[in-house]
Amino acid sequence: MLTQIKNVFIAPLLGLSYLLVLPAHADVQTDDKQSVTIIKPSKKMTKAKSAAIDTESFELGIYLGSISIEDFGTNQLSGISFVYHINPKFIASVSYATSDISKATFEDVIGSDFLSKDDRKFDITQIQAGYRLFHGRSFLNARHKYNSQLYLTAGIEDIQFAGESHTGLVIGSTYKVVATDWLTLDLNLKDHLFERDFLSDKKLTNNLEFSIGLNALF
Amino acid sequence: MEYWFQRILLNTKRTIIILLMTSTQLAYSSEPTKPDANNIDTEYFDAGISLGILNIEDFGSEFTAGVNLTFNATENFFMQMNYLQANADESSFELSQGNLFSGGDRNFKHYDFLVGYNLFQGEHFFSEGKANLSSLYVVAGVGDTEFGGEGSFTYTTGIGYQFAIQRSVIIRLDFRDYIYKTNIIGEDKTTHNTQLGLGISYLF
Amino acid sequence: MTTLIFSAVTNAQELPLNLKVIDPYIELHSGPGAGYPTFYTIEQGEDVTVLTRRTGWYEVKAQNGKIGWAVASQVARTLLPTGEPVDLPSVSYGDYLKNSWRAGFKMGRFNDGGLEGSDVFSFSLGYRPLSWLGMEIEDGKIYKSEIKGNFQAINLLFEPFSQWKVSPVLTVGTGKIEIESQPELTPLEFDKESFTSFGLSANYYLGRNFVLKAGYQSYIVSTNTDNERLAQWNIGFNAFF
Repeated sequence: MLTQIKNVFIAPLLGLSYLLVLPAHADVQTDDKQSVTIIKPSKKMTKAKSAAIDTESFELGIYLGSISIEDFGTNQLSGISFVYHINPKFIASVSYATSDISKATFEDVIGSDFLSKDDRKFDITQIQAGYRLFHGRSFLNARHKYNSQLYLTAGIEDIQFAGESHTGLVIGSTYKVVATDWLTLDLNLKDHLFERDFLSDKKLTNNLEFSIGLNALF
Repeated sequence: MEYWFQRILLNTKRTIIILLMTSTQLAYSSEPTKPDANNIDTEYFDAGISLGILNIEDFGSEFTAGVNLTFNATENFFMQMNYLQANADESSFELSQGNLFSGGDRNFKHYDFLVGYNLFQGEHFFSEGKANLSSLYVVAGVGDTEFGGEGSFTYTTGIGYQFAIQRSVIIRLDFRDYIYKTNIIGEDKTTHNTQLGLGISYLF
Repeated sequence: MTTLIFSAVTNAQELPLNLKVIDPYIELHSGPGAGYPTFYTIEQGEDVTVLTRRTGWYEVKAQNGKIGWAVASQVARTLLPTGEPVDLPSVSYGDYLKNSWRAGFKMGRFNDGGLEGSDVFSFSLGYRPLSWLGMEIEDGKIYKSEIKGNFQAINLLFEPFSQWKVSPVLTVGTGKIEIESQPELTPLEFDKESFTSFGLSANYYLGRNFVLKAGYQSYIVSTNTDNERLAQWNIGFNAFF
């Protein structure tokens, strides 16, 4: 009840204040519409544009994340990548990443190392192509607006692990946010598939990667 | 106190008006409904299924199937329940040294309760024209993992994004890390079991 | 106004909710979130039709057919065709949660008694018949390296100041607890017993129907010989719908 009464009083007051503050809205609130002449601004407003990948076509960056190796554990991964924007729809990239694979539990339990120290390195060199599934805008609270896109990626890779070289397939996705005119932020989710012969068990392994990348745009 | 009083007054008045309204409406229609805020179609929940790949630490990678229910509590926060399971094949170590466990214990069963936060809310275009809602979110929560004859207290963390392909159909791509302590191989250790999942959900 | 009501009666199934804007204006966003840009403004005195509702936002249609999302607190300040304020309280925290259902989870750790150091989590489902009184059923699990357990409880929750953004909650409950010591060597005095519990916690209303709850819960487990005391710190989230 009280709120209602309050509103009855406040609403016209607010309306009045808008009349004063925002003359653009005033015409609607005046009863006599004929007497109002709308003055169109002669100057065109330049629309504020968020940073986008428009004139730039290369990205060079680093990424950090984790990789889970089948039969072993999850370890930190770091890499560098170079991206070429062929056109708005397609990208091509070359990247290199490395990770130190810690001991598997069975190695600890048995008390012997199955891999030498040098073989514990997991090195990936990959060539990928990406297709932009969609583009759009991402909003970080009410104030920040960024151009963003989702790419589906696929490629081939060379993996050095356990003293052997493997050719593998990498599939995944990248969510790219254009933070500023020269900086982009990536969220990468990937699956590295390759065949491995380990402890005389030959099988196709899936090795999941999650990483976040920072790239310079030029 | 004042607020309470206002509410009571308002509610009583509203009830009387509704009663009056319905009684007048009764004269015109056999099934009257009043225009009420509570009759509005809501879109608070979504339910879905997901498929994925799970790397079980010290074991292999397995296909997972799961179900989930999400309550979109605010524009920023949501709550989610997940259940998933996978069948663990023999690890390379087991193939050479013998199985550590068998039967039902080879099923990896997990459920959790998560809280999610939308880092980025967005709108996306598959083609020029109509925008679809999307978001990039992080999740964290607790749950239970049954594997190898053990039940383990599990922390779940993750990141993912979702996008609508239709008004009520959402696609989700998720990365999750299930973290729990286990001693199935003989040593107490904290394991990270990562999963990539692709899901489809219906908003209602 | 009467014509509106009568036209509405004709299709009783899908009733459009028409409201009159009494705020100076209502902003239409392109999506249900503060970040989505405003693309249209509905002026005072115009009618809007409410289409759907997401938490905190309404999808509305303006007179000229434009469809967009308006923040709930703005839509709350509109009038029904009857001239009544629409019953959409914008905010008053727990106070409006009378007659609502609740689902939530919490996690915690026992810091006292025979289960000291155990991790615990539970899921609860509740109903709030009054703004200050709720009841819930709770199902939980307890973990320690050598101990596994579970418990089920029924709790009553008293929240006298539910209109506050941060509001204290008193919990009183009773239930059953079952403990399995994996190897039978832990010095626990009980395995399957009933308990009563009481606790104090605080609700922090993060949103209209989303609550962070943190508190302390004390358990008295009645065993054959003695009463075992347990205590637990916990934190959790609840959603009302």
